[in-house]
Amino acid sequence: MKTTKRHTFRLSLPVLLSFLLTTSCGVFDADPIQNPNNPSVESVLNNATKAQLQNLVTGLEFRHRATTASNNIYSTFGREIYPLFASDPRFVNQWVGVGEGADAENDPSFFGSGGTYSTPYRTVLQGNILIQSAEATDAVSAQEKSGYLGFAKTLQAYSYLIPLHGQYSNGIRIDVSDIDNLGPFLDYDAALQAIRDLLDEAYSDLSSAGSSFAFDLTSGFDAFSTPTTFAQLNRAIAARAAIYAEDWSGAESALSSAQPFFELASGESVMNKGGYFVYGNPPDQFNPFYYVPNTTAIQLPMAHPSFVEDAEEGDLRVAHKVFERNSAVTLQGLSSMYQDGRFESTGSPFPFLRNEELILIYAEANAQSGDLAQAVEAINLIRSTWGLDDFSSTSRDEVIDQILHERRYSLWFEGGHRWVDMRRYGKLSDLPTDGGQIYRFLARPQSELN
Amino acid sequence: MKTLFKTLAFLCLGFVSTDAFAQFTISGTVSDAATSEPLFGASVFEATTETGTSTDLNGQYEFTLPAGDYTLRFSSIGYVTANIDVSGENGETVEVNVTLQSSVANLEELVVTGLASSVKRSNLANAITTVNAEKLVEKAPTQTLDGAFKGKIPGVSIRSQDGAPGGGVNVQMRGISTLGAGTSQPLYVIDGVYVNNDAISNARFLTTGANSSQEDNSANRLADINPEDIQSIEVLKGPSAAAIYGQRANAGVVIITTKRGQSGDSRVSFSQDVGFNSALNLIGVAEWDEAKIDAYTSVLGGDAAAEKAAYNAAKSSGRIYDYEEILYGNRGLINQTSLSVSGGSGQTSFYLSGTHRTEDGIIENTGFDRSSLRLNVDHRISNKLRVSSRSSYTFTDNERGFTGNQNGTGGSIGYALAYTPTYAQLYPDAQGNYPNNPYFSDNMLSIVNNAVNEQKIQRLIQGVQVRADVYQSENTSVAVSLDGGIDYLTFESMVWMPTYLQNQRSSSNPGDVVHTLEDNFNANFQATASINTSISLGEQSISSSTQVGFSRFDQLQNRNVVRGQGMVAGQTGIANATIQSVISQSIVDVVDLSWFGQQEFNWSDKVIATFGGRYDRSSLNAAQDTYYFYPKASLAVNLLNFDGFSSDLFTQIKPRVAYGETGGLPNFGATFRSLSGGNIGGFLATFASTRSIDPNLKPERAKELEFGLDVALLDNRVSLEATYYKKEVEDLILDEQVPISSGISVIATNAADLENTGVELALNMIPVQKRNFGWNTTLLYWSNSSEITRLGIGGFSTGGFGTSLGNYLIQEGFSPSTIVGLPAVSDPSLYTIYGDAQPDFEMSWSNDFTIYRNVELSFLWHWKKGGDNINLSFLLTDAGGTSPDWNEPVEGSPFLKGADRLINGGSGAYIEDASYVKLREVGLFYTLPQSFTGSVVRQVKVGVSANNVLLFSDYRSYDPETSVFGTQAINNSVEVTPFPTSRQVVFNVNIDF
Repeated sequence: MKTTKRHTFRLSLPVLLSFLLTTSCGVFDADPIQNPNNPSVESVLNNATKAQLQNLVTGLEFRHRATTASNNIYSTFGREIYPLFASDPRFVNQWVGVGEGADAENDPSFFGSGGTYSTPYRTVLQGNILIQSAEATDAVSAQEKSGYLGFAKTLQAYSYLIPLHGQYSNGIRIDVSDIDNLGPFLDYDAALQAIRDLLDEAYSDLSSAGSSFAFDLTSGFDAFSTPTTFAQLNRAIAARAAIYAEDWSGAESALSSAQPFFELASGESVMNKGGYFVYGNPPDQFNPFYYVPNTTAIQLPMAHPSFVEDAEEGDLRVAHKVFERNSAVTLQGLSSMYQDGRFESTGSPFPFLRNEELILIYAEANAQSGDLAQAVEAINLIRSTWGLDDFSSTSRDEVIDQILHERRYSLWFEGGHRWVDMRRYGKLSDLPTDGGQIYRFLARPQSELN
Repeated sequence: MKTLFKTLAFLCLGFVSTDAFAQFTISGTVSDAATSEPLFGASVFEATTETGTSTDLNGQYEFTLPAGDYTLRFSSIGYVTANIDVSGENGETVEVNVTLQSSVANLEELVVTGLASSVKRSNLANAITTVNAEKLVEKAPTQTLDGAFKGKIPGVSIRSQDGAPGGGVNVQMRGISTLGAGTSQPLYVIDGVYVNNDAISNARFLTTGANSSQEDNSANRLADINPEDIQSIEVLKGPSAAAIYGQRANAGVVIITTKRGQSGDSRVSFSQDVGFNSALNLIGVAEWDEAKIDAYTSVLGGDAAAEKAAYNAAKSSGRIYDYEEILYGNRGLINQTSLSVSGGSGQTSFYLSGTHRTEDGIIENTGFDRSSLRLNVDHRISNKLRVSSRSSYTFTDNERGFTGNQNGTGGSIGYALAYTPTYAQLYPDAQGNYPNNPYFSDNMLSIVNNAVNEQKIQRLIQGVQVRADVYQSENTSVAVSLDGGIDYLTFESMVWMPTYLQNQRSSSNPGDVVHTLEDNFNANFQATASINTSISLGEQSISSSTQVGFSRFDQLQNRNVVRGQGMVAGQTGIANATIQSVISQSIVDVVDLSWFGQQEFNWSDKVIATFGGRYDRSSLNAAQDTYYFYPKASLAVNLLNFDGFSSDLFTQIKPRVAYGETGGLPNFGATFRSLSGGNIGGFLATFASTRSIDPNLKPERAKELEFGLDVALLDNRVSLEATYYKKEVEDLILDEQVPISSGISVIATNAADLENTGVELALNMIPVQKRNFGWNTTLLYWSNSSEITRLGIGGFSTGGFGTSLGNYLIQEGFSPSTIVGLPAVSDPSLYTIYGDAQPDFEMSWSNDFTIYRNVELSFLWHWKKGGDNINLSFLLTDAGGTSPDWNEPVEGSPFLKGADRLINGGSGAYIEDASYVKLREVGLFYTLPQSFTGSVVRQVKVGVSANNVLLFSDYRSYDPETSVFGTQAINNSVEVTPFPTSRQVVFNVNIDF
């Protein structure tokens, strides 16, 4: 027995050892582990291919779409909706301002306010990466490069407006290209000017971008798929920024450059021309504002009852935008019968800028610069489209009030226009408080204070 | 590198020519010195030949050794080990009868202190707690191994996240050692294999709308280990003891040893448990009547008239229900069958065991089944070469139910329960259709009966050890060992919300299923060379023990999560879904390499000094090929071994001091700046992720200084172990919140230092040791306090559900377990302080009584003083009007109590003291007299035992032990409608053949 055992051992040990010796080199060292799951940012910063740039362009659209994250909170601030999300009492307590200690203007960690700030700045970051990549590659011509830059800067400018709406008099940072050395906070006026300058810069880039982009955009940009048409979108955003800056002539001139996208005419299809966020089934995302009609889940935004109560008889916008449910949705003392009915399915697109807004910008700019007749004419293009009688007035204030009314109904729950509009005209106190508070702005986020 | 193996080869070949040897036989009886009772199962062991056996029921043993001189070690749990010299010539039979003294000091117990070395407890310089099988799992029912640690290890704070069957346990050793970047859980090493203890998410949050995978109520995977197979555990609580495990030891190390067979007659042991789970503590529910409905609806809304009509209709037809009792009041059956065979002869011994456990939870359709098979084999190839193998396979099937957080889907029955009044009608009609719950997004009864949350884990752990004595002379020995193994597990889970659930009917795509499949592979090995020498100078001797070695750890994890929405009725396959999505597909790949060395000097057992260190690198670090050094040193002095210090009273007085450093690694991915992928309108997007990187990121480093005094007296019938430690953790990795206008949210960076100081006391006594009555008692006390001593970034609050509901403050000068809420205040605390999650202290008291030699009674009390929870279950029951005290009036308030808290309470209303006293374990066992057992059956033991027997606490929920976010470094005391804790009572029969 013992002899056999030893014999076996003698045979196997050298085998074992030679195995160890031949494999030991790899055992005592290891190659660095690369990220097995994703490419790195660095991989596109130098000599990106056109295919990589295309992915970054789509990435910018992806980030741009996420800016709808501010819609619920701004629309609550402007009392366009009630945030009836039963999962967390803070939607009502904090946003409507009924809760103990709720104070959006002074709480740097105000509940649910991240979407008004972080999301748009992610779009800005993505735009900067696209610009950096497009500038540091030989894969595209100078003309094509201008297309990338014009596209990126336009969407960046669109995004900057969202935190600026929220921060308002606190101001925001515009120069955020170097994370270790972020630019200063600019006050509201300076920031708005910087945004308008960026739009002008983008407009100039687009004008030297030739007749077609070197990249493709989703169907949400079907009306703006070439440098020429995209430049009209750029001017439309510039017109929006101009009225915020109360630069009425600037708004008018931007609108004239936004033609033919900007069209002074009536009819639903004319109103709905514009830029859209598109949605789809996974791996794409659902329209975040689509809810099953009459859903029993208390987890949805509901139209503020005043939206229906204050409406003119026969205003088709109300019927198009909301429907009366079988039963009310009630949460924490807030109740509404009216659910958002704008979207047919989870795949319906959501508008981020429509011609209807441009017509109203046109009306406002004209009214403010004294051309009331033009303003009234524009107002009535809207009214006739939605089944309402013509409006007439020769009082500037009445016309402005009418424009605010039309904006309320035309742009309901499309990003929170009502809150911004009422603030622009010093009318926040006219909004219903619902037992809470109407905030003027949001506190500067905690991360910016450190 | 190759040189080591060449040397190994040379040395290995050198010892094959072992001579055949003449043998002699040793036999005798081992008995208790006080009672003269024979001791069953006492171990008799000869170290140089690794030969041994254990005593039979009559205390008798017999085995053979090659002719020569030996020292036999006689040991038994709870007795002072005796070393007896014997010598024998060929063919001789030597009788050695031994009596053993009872002991609580276990001075001779061997404790693992290095990666391939051990030292006897009397020479130990650290407070290393050893818990053997008897204390750990044999006195009370045990579901998971870590659950059985509770109250048995001073310095270790253990908290169950809830009562779901299958575990989920947060183990925190000596305070907080990370703020969440590194792992907060100890490293578990089972028979030399680094095992996976991840809490693997089943992505349930996707179907319930909860915020993240942290809220999935995942069980940590120590749940796959069969407690019946455990021989003992050793707990290296802090860096001073654990330094030799280097960069993975910041949260401590638990070394687990499984049972091994012993030569001699084969033993067969059969054990059957039958018992049940029942709720430890239900909260109760507020009553409803018309006045209450008015009070509720006037504050929280609703149609009072309609509610009153509903209430009166329910009342008149006698359909008022206590849904808490209906959901949680069930009894769940526990059944466990174990069979083990052990034995061995000549060069080989084995331990073979199989255990099958089934357990139903107190919520219907929940449960935990575990089947395991183990084979441990030890074999001597020659006198100088030994090999052992530890193999185990486990299959775990765990249904964990639907509790905890949700957002709007009703996918948590506890959450829905909080909003459901007693007059709600939720029972199905004659066709089995469940009505909608008008008070929340789903009908709890339908969720319990129709929704599925099941996970199945298959796991193979294989450890191998080879040990070769390559050189031996009178004073010097050299040994080489190779240790290692693999741990492979597959986790497969399904969460299914069928189409007909209320929340699914209201979805645009009814029917929701999430399948998760995760493979996890760990492999590690270490090669160690040890040299032991001793020099004698007259009566003094100095012995030296040196070890050097190399170790490597590899981890590869592959995780896939897929989801289907809009399902074909009754189907769970993704192919039957309208919307099919890949939620994640991700890989984790890690390599660690280490070199280590340790040197110990022992001067005649008077002074024992050790120093050593470990060089570690890991691919988790930003600098993947940089080695970081973790040193250690310790000193123990046995005063009574010095001349002139002898004492009649004391048997040991040992001051000791130890210092060590360990590391904590960044999370996988923290060093990569990625472009993420997404889809929009049929196009593929890549976009910058919101995480950026710090190229200088280093591992976290804990430095611990530990002082202690170990005293044993009265013939070792009393022992006291007292320890003070100061553990500083430097370079804590925090996700620095950069200004979010950069588009970046976080960068993992070395931003903070913190300090833990604490005291651990362990008093063991045998107050009575009589023939017919024995009493063994242990009193443990431990406390820890933490403070952030440096914070390189701005202070902030983190975790929980935001500051308005209470969360944790990370700020210099404060403990990271500080609980804060609104309103915000000026510096330094930023927010109002409402509490601290860390307890003031914990104590435990365990007692074992032996009565008439065959009745054993044991119990374990555990007291946690202080420590606050954020009790959001209570917030929800207040919002739903169901808190048991909701209807009580409040002086000076127009509101009733529940509404008053909700409206006027502010952040602090739901932050409350979570102190408790628990009777954790009770066991009563009776060993049948031998007259009842025949020649085949050696022993029959019957008993009844219970776990979580009694709870005394003012905490206003099921159990102060709760954590909706699972195992977390700091964010671990938030409660949201958990699975209520069970009391387990089990009847047991154990038969040894």
